[in-house]
Order: sequence, then structure tokens, then C-alpha cells
Amino acid sequence: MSYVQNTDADRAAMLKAIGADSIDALMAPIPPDCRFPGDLDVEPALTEDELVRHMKQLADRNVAVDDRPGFLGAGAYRHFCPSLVDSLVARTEYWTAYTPYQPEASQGTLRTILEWQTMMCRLTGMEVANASLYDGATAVVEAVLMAMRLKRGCETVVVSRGLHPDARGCLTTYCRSLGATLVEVDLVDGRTPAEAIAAAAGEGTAAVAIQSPNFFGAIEDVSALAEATHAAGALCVVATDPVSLSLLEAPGKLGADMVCGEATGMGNPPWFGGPGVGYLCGRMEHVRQMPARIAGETVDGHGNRAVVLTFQTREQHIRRTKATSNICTSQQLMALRATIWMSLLGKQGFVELGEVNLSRAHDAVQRITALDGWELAFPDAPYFNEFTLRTPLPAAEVNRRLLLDHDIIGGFDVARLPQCSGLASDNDLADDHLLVLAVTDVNSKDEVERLVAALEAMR
Amino acid sequence: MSNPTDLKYTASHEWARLEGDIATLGITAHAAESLSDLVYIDLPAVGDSITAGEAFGEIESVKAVSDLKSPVTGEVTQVNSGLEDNLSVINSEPFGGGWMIKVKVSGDLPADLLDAAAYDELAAADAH
Amino acid sequence: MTTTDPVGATSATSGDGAGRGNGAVDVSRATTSTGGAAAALSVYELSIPGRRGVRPPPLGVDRVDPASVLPAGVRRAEPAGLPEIGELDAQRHYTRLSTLNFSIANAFYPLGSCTMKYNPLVNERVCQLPRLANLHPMQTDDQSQGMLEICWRTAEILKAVSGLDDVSLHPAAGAHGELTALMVMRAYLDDPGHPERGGAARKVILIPDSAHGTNPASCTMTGFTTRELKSNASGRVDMDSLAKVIGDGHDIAGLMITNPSTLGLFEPNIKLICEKIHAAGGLVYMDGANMNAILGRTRPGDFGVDVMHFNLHKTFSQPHGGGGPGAGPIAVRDLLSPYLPVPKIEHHGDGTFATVWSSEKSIGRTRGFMTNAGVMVRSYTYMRANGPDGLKAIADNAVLNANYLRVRLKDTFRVWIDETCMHEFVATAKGLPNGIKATDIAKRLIDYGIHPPTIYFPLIVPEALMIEPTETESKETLDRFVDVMKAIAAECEHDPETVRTAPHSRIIGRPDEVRAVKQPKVTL
Repeated sequence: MSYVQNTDADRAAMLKAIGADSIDALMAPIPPDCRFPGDLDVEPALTEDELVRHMKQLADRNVAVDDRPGFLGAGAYRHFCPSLVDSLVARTEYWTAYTPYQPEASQGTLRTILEWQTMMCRLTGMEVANASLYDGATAVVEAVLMAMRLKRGCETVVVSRGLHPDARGCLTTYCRSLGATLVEVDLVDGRTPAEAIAAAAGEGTAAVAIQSPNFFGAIEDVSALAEATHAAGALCVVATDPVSLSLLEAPGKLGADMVCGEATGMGNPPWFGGPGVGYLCGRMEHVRQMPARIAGETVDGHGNRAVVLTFQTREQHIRRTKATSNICTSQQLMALRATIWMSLLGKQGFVELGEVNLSRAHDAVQRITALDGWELAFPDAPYFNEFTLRTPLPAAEVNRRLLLDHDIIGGFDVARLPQCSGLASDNDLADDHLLVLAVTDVNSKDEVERLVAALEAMR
Repeated sequence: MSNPTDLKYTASHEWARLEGDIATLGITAHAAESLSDLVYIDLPAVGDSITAGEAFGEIESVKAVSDLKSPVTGEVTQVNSGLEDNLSVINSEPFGGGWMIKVKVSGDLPADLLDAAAYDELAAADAH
Repeated sequence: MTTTDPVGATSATSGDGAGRGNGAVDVSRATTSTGGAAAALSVYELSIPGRRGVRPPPLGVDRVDPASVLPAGVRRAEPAGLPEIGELDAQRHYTRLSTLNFSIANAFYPLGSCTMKYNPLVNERVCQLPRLANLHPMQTDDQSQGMLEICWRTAEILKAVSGLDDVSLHPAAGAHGELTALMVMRAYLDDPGHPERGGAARKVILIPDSAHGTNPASCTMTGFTTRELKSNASGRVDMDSLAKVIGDGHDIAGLMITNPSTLGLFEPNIKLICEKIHAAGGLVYMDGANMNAILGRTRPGDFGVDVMHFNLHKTFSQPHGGGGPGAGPIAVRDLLSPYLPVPKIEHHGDGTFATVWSSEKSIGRTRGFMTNAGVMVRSYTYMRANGPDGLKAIADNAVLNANYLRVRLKDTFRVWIDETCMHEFVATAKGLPNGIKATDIAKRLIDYGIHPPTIYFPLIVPEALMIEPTETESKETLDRFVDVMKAIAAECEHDPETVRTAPHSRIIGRPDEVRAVKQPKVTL
């Protein structure tokens, strides 16, 4: 199968117009000793029908969460998605366009970016958002790098170990690359102590990065952590699941200087972790150090409202070595899904969705901890839709039995933490009797009851 | 195009007015014109040290950013703080109200500074 | 003011609904603003207090009062300010906004360097398969065998077309691939087990002046400094300049080169250039943005490249999505393999696949989870739809289409380096009558229903118009583009005002970009 439309006659006519004998002649600029003489080692072409069968066969080798209850969160949360999201995003005008460099030919994309920026700012309580970043982990990195540019000369970054292991792993890699120092702060009873931040941060600290709800589901005391951060003269980076902001206070109101994270759960399927959509919000006074695309409203020569990409001199195509970031794209299609998702839920629906998450998670905890031997690992920590259980048998064994005996995908086994972060230093966090479970609006009451029954049978 | 004869110029279109050991720095009319719509300027703070031939700041139009290269070495004594809110003065009075910083000069002036006649020639060639 | 329509501007397939007339492009303001005011409303302006869109799932359990479980300090005081809009109005709003876009599906889109080819729908169909879309990234290997296999097979094909030994599927975009590759190069040079590599002194990456802006920006983010490599008069690496910037070679970490270059030219000395960099102790990185031109015809690994990135959204037809998602996997020679990021996928002899979570010399993690799997699914589907012959046909027809356009246009628009090009070529608007600039040509093309080429890039060509037709366009589309370009060239002479004030057919005219910076309005 080929998507080329040229016929042999077309090719002959075009070669004639060019004055070349053959396509081989057009390839003459490739020096003979660079040419690849053979056939590519790729399997033969498939027709569309064969392709669909082939891909279905491969897909069927997965044990996916759509066929059975699943309680994995750990940075990738599934939520209800209205049918209209798929329908609208399937419009080819959105998905086959590119970066809106020509505003007159891209007002559709640009206006949805401005809507996205607005909604993310309203959620987070910040003043400016960018058009999106690769994913949640790299969004945390970009927020920290932004803070380092704002605090020129400060080369230390303090990180709560409640931050997602992928984000901590990325920060480690990027900081090593830039020669910056990363200092990790331990959790106490599942949360980050403000005193520990105060002790770790000081002169030379550019940023303190925390996550709330954190990787273990615990809601942090953001204002106390931000206060400790500011007392040390650093900037406070808060990573958060935007869906939690249905019920949790906007980090911007609690002292955050940058708010970032992963927005995939809003209207996007998990897709095995990518493509995701990272978001980053900040203050207007810092906008010149913000990375990636930003849309802004202006007018055309006749006073008509127009949206353009603005503050472009920050970016790589103009500033090159001095750019705020090398990023030149955004995860626009994912951000568009999130934008439409937020519009459709709306002001009231978003709060209601949050209450469904909160209520079902608390209901699940109540039922599970009523079982003998099952308890919350951090009973004093408030939580939204995810929580950590102390398990009577190893978490890996719990997950294994859930799948084999009950066809349920369990939770995140904390023993896997060092794997995810890639950090050997995480071995001390790898408690094999801790299980992080997410219960969201996709987990019906029936699913939770099946889970509880399965856990009860597991003694 | 004629540029004030009492100034020294760089090939990168900055000028310096020397009065005693104090140099006032700015960019030429030719540079301001080619940058057109200016949107942002980043200047050093009083007390900062700057070096001849190196950037002391940046100036931006919508789709271009240019380093401001210093004609002299020394310490910044004054910054034209009004520029930030009124960049158009750089276009309207490049050699007057559009000045950027004053510097207490240390050491000798670089040998490659141009006089007005030499800069006139350079700017004229650049315009083609 | 009206103009005639010699080449069918009014049949533009993508329009705002404004500016269409009977056989003439109506360039009057009255028409342009028709429908403008209503069409321009944002979702917030459409918002009515109390209006509901889609209902979320029911509680299902007893309601937990947030006040009872969330402390006052963390509980939200005011609901987040999302819009309030009904489902139908939301459908109309976002449908309407979509019509304000040019896209491949409704317009020729010869955006140089971006490879805006047809995006097959079968790719979209398979990536929506529930057992692919709804696979959770924290699921274990035994639950993810199908996805791991798709990713592994994608990597195998990337190895085959690059002639390189190993692949990392981590990078989420081309620029991310550059960044990851530079970190891998740094780790290789700095390997404490290999002091002979001279890591500490090797800080300099050579970059041709025609390079994309992400190249130098990525170097800065990874702690390298850059040294510019001048192009010669024919747009190729100047070998004297190369010798000069290499110097004694002690500080050279490597070269970042785009081949075919951003001028659409194959680098004739590429083998020699790679040899010189290797002789200096450096590594050669290739920006694979232009792989579309050489699939099956030449392989970077065979001409000396050590590491490269692919843009799957360009070469392998991932839809661009208005800016993303893409993916920028990197392929490396085996000497760099130990330093690739983790996690990686391993193929076992028994046909199973496993995630390798750590590796002693790995640079570590550079993104969340493992890869843009949804992108891999689409690109793998596309690769298999083409097969080995189809992949080669992509390059052949991309090069044919580009040269056809080059030859047909060159009497009207000067082609900067007028030689046989690869998949794209760069023309210039310099010297057009009446001071018409590249941007004017671009804006006027919009009136004729064609997305403009890339303009003002590469930086070494004044008033650049970078044109990449791709292999999927038909001869008729290319012919119409030529006719339109000739018509615009004639307008430059006889009716320059129409060109200078274009576009006239869209919901907006040229926006005031100064105001967007000076009076920023970045939320509604």
C-alpha cells in the first residue's frame, strides 16, 4: 500500500519537465559511496485490512484496563470522557494542522490554545499558562529550569520525595547535565514536613519542587511549604493533578510560583503513558522566562480580535543558544481534548466530578480498612482520589492474585519505585507492603465491591 | 546618513559619548530603524561591570533579539530607567533621550572604535 | 477592491466562510468582517451562568462532604472558573473554530522542513483500539506484551532505515531527541572508564549556520557551547571553515548536522566530514528532520553518523495535531548504546518482551513513563502499510515532487541554490518588485487557499520561502501551486497593495504582534 498519488505517466511527465532521465538521476547528489544498494530489512507491505487485523492481534496481547476494573493511578488517572470530545478532535482541521505560525490561517488552533491557557490559569490560580509541554515529568523539569533562570546563580534544587518518581528521575538527569545540585527531602507520615524544606533550602536554592496530592496520594500543606520555600529565598514549584483542583485550593492562592503537571486525564486515554500533555502555569512577571508556546490576544489592522503566538523572542527559532528552552512544539491535540473536556464538564460539572472521585475513594477506603489486616499507610493524611494501603501480604502478591483470581488490575506496588525513577537511592522507599490505589469516577461502585471482596478473600 | 561627530561607534551599531571618564552608551539611528518595533530591553544594574566587545544587555523587537555590545569597559553608574516604559524614544531620539546606560570607564578605549565618518560609511553599506 | 481569480482562489477548500465570491476573491473589508463578530466569540463569552454541558457519572455511593475530609487550608474556596456551556453550543463552537484552520485535509500545505504529508486514517483507527488506548503505563510487562512488541518492532524498523545499531523511543519530540542525544554524547565522552575520550575538555558542538534553532538551544540545555560552521556559496559545509573550527580538536565534542540540509541539499562531503570529526575525537549527530528524502536510498549509519533523531510526525506520518504530539526517537551506533535512557524494551528469544529498568551507564530517565506509545502505534502502522518498497517510494516521490516544483517555479522566484534538490528547496522573495517581502507572498497564498511555505528560515537565505511538497501531493496540486505563485508574482508588479495587505479572505487580517507583546493578554 502506498499513499503516493503519482502515476507512472505523472512521473514521466515530471521527469521530462525537470530534464532528468530517471528518479535515480535525481538521487545523483547522494555520493555513490553513500548510497544504500539493498532492500530495507522491513517486512512486506500490508493492505489496510491486513493492517487492522495485525494491529488487533497485537492489541489483544495486552491486558488492558478497559476490559476489567483497574485501580492504577500513579501519575496517570483515567476519567470519564464525553463522546463529543472524540467527535470534535476527529475534525481533520485540528489534527492535520501544524504549529500556528500563520495566525490568519490558524485562528482555530490559536483560539483553543487561548481557551486552554485561560482554563488552566483558572484551575491553578495563576496568571499565565503555556500551550503545553511533553508530559508531567518534563513539565516539572521545565518549571525548575525556569526557576533557575529567574534565580540566576542559584544552582540547587530541593525536591520532595513525594514528587512522582518519573519527575524526580528526570530532574536528576537534567540537573546532572547542567551541573546543578539536587537535594531530596524525605516524607514523614506520607507528607513533606515544612521544617525539612526550611532545613534543606537556603542561599543558593533556586527552587523547591513539591507535589500535591503527592505520589502516595497525600495532600500536602502547600501554603506551609511555600512559606518555607520563600523564607529561603527560593521559588515554589507545585506539581498537581489538575482534576484534583476541582476540590483543592488553587496552588496560586497558596503561594506557588509555578504550577505544573500532567493533564492527560482530562479527556485523554492513558496510551501506555504517552503522548501525554504537560502543563505549566506561572506569574506574569516571570513570563519572559517561561518555556514553549504562549498564545496572546491582539487585534488586526481593522480592530478585529486576533490571537497570535506571542513573546516569541523567548523561543529557540529566534534566540537559539539563549532560548528559554529548546522546545518547539506543544502537545496541542492532547491539550485540545482537555480544553473541550473542561468546557463540557463546566464549572459545576467539574466540582461534581471531583466529589465523585472524593466520595468513591473514601468509600473504598472505608470498606477496605474495615477488613482485617488492611489499613491506610498514612491515616492522618487527607487524600483526594488516591491513597496508600499497608498490605497484609506483599503488594506484588496482592496485584498478582487480583489479576489471576479476580481479573482486576490492582494498584501501584511501592517496591517498584526505584525502577520507575531509575534512582538507586530510592531503594529505601521501596516498601514491598505498600500499595497505592486510585479510585476515580471510572471505578463504579460495583468495581469497588469486587475489589473489596477480592481483598477479603486474600487472607 | 550622518551621525553625530562627537561620538565613537562600534561596527555593531552602538555609540559612546565620552565626557571625562564617564561614557554614555546607546544604539545608532540606523540600528534603531532596522530593529523597528521595539518591545523589550534588558539593561544591567548600577554597579555591574561591563566589558568592551561583550554584551551589556539585549533589545528585542517582535521577532528579533539583539545583543547590545559595549564599546567600553567599566562600571555602570546610571541606567536610563525610563526606557522600559517608552522604548519608542530609542527610535525618535537615538542619540539623545534614547541613551541606555552611563559607565565609569576604566582602562583604554578599544582601538577598533569608529569615528562618525567611518561609521557613516559602514551604515550606508549596510543599508544596501 | 477586487481582483480577478485566474487560478481559482475562490475555490479554496479551506475558508472562513467569508471572502468567497462568484469567481472573484473579494478583498473588501466588509466581506472579511462578515460573520466575524459572531464567529469570534470565545467559550467564555458563550458561557451562561447555570448552564450545563455533559453530566459527570453519578456519585454511586454516599456523598462525602469535602469539608469533612479536606482541611480548610487545602479545600477549594471557590469553584474553578470553567465556562458554562451546553453540549450543542460546545459542539458548534469547537466545530466553528476548527473551520478557521488550514490543515492538510483541506489545503496544500508545503511547509518546508515539516513534511506535511497525508495522514492515513487507518493509523488513527488502530491507535484508538481500546486495548492500546486504555493500557495503563504502570501495568507490568506481562500485561503489556502487545504494546511492548509494537514499540520494539517500531525500533527495529528505525534501525533498518538508519543503518544504526540501537534505538531509544523515549524522546517526545525532535527537540527532545536532540537533547537526549546530546546527554548520551556527554555521557560517552565523560565515561570515567574511558579517560582517553577526553571528556572534560570536550565542550564544543559545531553547528552549521543553516541549522534549526532547536540545535543550539539543545546544546545550551545540556551544558555544551556551540561554534558556528559557515556554509559555502553552494550551501554546503565549507571544508576550510570546518578545518578551522575543529582546530587541534581537543575541545570538540561533536557536530550537529542536518542532512539533507535545511536548504534541501544533500551534503556531498558527508563521509569526509564525519571522518574529520571522528579523527578529532568527536561524535557526529544528525538531525533527522529530513529523513523523508532519503528513506531506502542512503542510511546515516552508512555515511558515518553516530547518533540521530527521527521526527516520526514528519517522516512517518504522525498527524501534527496543531503542534503535537510528535515523537523524536534516537538511533545510535553501538558505542553509544550503553548510555541510552532507561527504561528500554528487550526482546527475548521466546518471543516475549521485557522492560529493562536500569543500566549501569545509562543517562537515566528523560521523560515520564516509557514512550509516546500512541505515536509509535501510528508510525508502526504507517511503516507496515508501506513496506520496504513503499518506504523507498516515499523518498523517490518526495524528491521528484520537490524538483518538479523547483524547476517550474525558478523562472518566477529565484531559487537560492538552483541545483537538484532533495525533498525541498529554498526560494527567495528578495528582489521582488515594489518591496514585496516573503511574508507578503505567504499571506497572499492564504487567499488562494494554500498554506504558506516556511518563511525566513533557514536564516542564511534572505527572505526565504522554504517549500516542501511531500510525496503524497498529486501533479495537479503542484501545477496549481505553480499557477498561483505566478499569479501572485504578477500581482507583485501590477497590484502590490493587494499583496502587501493580504490576506483578505480570512476572519482576521494581519494581526498587530507588537501589541500582543506590549499589552499582553494571555487569558480570556
